[in-house]
Amino acid sequence: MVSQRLGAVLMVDSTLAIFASICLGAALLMPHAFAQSPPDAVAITTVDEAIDELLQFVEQDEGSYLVDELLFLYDNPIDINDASANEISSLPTVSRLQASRLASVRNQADAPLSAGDVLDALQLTDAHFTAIRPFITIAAPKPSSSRQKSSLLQSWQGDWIQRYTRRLDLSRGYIEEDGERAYQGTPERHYSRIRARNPRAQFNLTFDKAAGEVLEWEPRRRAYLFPHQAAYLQLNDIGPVSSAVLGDFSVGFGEGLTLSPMRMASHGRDPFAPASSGTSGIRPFGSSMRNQSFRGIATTVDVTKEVQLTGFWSSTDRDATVDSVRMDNGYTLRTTGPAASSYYRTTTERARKARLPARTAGAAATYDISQWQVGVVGYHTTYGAEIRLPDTPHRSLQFEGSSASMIGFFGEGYTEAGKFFGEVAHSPSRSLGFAGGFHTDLTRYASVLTSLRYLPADFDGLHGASFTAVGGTPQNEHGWYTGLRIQPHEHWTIDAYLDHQYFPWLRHYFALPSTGFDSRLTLQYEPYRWLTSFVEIRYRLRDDRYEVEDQTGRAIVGVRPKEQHSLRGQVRYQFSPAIRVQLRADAKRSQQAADEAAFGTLLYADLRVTPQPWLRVDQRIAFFDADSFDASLYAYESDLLYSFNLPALHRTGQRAYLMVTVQPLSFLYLQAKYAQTRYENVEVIGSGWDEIEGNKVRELRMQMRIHF
Amino acid sequence: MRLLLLTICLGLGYSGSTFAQNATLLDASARSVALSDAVTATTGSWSSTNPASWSEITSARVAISAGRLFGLSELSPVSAAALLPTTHGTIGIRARSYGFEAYRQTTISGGWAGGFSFGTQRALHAGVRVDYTHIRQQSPYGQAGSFGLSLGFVAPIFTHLDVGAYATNVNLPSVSGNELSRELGLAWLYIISDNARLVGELNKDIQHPLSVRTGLEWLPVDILALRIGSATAPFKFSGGAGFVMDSVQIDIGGVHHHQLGWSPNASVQFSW
Repeated sequence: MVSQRLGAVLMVDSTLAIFASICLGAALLMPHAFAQSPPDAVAITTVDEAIDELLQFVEQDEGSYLVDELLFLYDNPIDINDASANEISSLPTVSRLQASRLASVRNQADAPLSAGDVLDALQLTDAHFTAIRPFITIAAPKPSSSRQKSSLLQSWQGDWIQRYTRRLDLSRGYIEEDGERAYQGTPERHYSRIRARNPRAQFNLTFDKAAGEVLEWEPRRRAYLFPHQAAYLQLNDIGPVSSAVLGDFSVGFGEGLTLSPMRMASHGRDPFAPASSGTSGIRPFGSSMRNQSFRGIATTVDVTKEVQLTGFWSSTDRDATVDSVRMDNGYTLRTTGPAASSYYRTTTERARKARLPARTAGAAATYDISQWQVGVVGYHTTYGAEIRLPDTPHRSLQFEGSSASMIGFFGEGYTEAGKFFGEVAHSPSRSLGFAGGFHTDLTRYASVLTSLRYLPADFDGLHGASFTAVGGTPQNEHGWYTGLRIQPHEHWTIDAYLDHQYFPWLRHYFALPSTGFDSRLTLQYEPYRWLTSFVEIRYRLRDDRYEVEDQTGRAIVGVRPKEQHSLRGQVRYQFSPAIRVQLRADAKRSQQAADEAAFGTLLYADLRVTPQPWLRVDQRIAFFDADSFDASLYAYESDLLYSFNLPALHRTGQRAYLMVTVQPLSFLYLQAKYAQTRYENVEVIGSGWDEIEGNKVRELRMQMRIHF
Repeated sequence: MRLLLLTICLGLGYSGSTFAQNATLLDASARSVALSDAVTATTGSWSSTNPASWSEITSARVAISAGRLFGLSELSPVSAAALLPTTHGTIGIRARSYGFEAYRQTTISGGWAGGFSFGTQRALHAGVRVDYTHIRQQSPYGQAGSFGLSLGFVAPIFTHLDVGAYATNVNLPSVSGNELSRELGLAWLYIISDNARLVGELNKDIQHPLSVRTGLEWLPVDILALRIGSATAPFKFSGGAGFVMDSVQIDIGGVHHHQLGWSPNASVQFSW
């Protein structure tokens, strides 16, 4: 016990010492920073480098949707001198206030904006602007008819991506027990994607077989059927039709309470995250994670210059579980989030596949005038069977029935005072929800955002996703968020937010309503494009479940506050176009009520070497040490294009990876990544069917991309 | 007593013991001991754990070092090194040993370090070192050895600030099934003035809590350096001095562990 206490004291000492060290490190960077002239210019040339650069400014817990979004933007860069404020704000890390300010400056300017004008209007650091640069174009405005003049048959280009990934250490699910094994398929993941596009159209086919899933031979079609498939054809600017999608698509309007693309916006490094969504309209959907997408047809029509109408119809079969207790033709809708997206590995999982026909029809109308927009959005969904949920209390306020309708009214506006935005929506169970806020510049150097969300426990929308503290469905959460950005100097940025939450009904298995509080303070120092650094402090207080036994041995369940403190420091140094190093230190402390605190620490060193334009090597070595899952640490990793990798590291161990990217021919990109996580003092990793015997998890990931 | 010493030695040799938290003392010169081993973002150093520290050696040098851990004669590490600068970087060899008749661990290292500019006006120092670790135990255990690979770099970001990182035994070597300790260190060097420098390091041994190390070196006159340092997990403080006379440098240093006591060290270095 004494040694445990001593250990805890020393860990606290370590955390404080890390804090002191990181602050000292940040301070050391400052005084002579300007003594050295900027070295070689740093050019971001490839799409994966561009995505990697921008993701460092996001660092959100859920970021996979961003990769697809960024790919779309990379292929369709936003023309700053032509785009609407809404389109500009679809850039991650660019808030709607910044976008509106930029649009306002542009509209008042006599000449097209230059890169310097854009940088001034957005008020970003040089490094941050460099990161978003590949996703925008800054050219003279095009004649309004120029896009329509281009032919549907000309200027096509495309990509074919073939990916193979596999864990080299097989989990229990792949091992036969009593002549059977849980995972029916092979441990490889096969992913194919073909995309083709020109200025007026794009086409996509995605096929995906996850690890453990079966690639089934379909004799009638004489082909293998992939468990996950997505396809779309998008056409733009056909007469009054500004956009039409046939196939898989997502729809997003307002704050996302009614309809939203797969955005799981939650707290991140960007203090203006609650103001980052907004109307995206219809977007083709190429990811194999389809649980928030629609399949059918969608179109947006420019009725007048100010009025746009969007309509869509979708027919798809959702995954569902046949209720084994209620035999009266009832189904239970599977309600997993995108991260656990519908795997079909076990017999049970395969039995859920596409069991529930769902038809959705929806529409939206927007009216834009000057820098204001108002709109209405709604849908009606009909299921092929009645959805009945299990009798667990925490699910009792989720949607049940065979049809649902929802309508929302949204609006946003920009004035000299700032940017207003909000949406009020009426859920299928006749509950009203609201999300909205106000973002304004206090001075030239400070900007503040405040937003409210009122999402009752019975606000049971089916296709919404908006900013919440826990991510996911906008339901059962009231919150007040305040974000602040101060730029006392062009090289220094201070970001901070405070977020109070109240969860009125049971959350997961909590027995009581609960509360929460999140805060973060980030000090960024970015003197040059080639040197970025930050120090970040986070504090989270959230009620969590606990269980004790009374004198008779009965379990008493309640909630108690759980505190998490974390500290992070990072330096990224681009020595030359050929070499980049990144160092990070992380420390975390988690404690529930008077229980013993859990600590986590992480150190990593990254090295990116680009000896030739056609060859890049990424390496990382990370040491981590986390007492419990609550003290887990996360670190974004470079990965194959189209992938997002944010592994949770807990226990004690080491993670290392080596990724090689080669472009042997102008149209051919090859990537291979080998990663290994090695744990200390354990004989088994994971649990359930994912349990692995041994102390290491090795993974091989390979990808080929052909550009045509 | 012999059993206790054997246990301590085994702990120092492998990574799975609390004693291994003091393993860096076995690898240290008096200068690095005095600065609590926070010297890994420096170049021109013969004893740092960071292989890149051998870079920027301007003259050939040999060095020897001897210490005594916690006052135990059986834990008296001795090390020697020879470094030779060439037009393509510095090459060097190093040997260290400690133990007694029942247990002896010897490590022989060879490495290279050099600076690159890649067409810029600056330098990036990188280093690689191969360590052969040989462990001999009394009968009936016998002896065994293994090769370990260590990598590191030091990057001068500004004229007054260097950062560095290194990882030891990246090839996960083991001796008779016992893994040798692995370390990852992120370090910095801040040059306060011509005669004062501040060093720091975040160091993680794979089996042990993160250690934060800092040190301050001050040269009141050209021939004398005074040093202090501290480290956490476990908490230690250190101090020492260095004397430079032409081609000879003599360093003394000591580190104090709050439970195990003092560990003194002395080094002599000749350069020509």
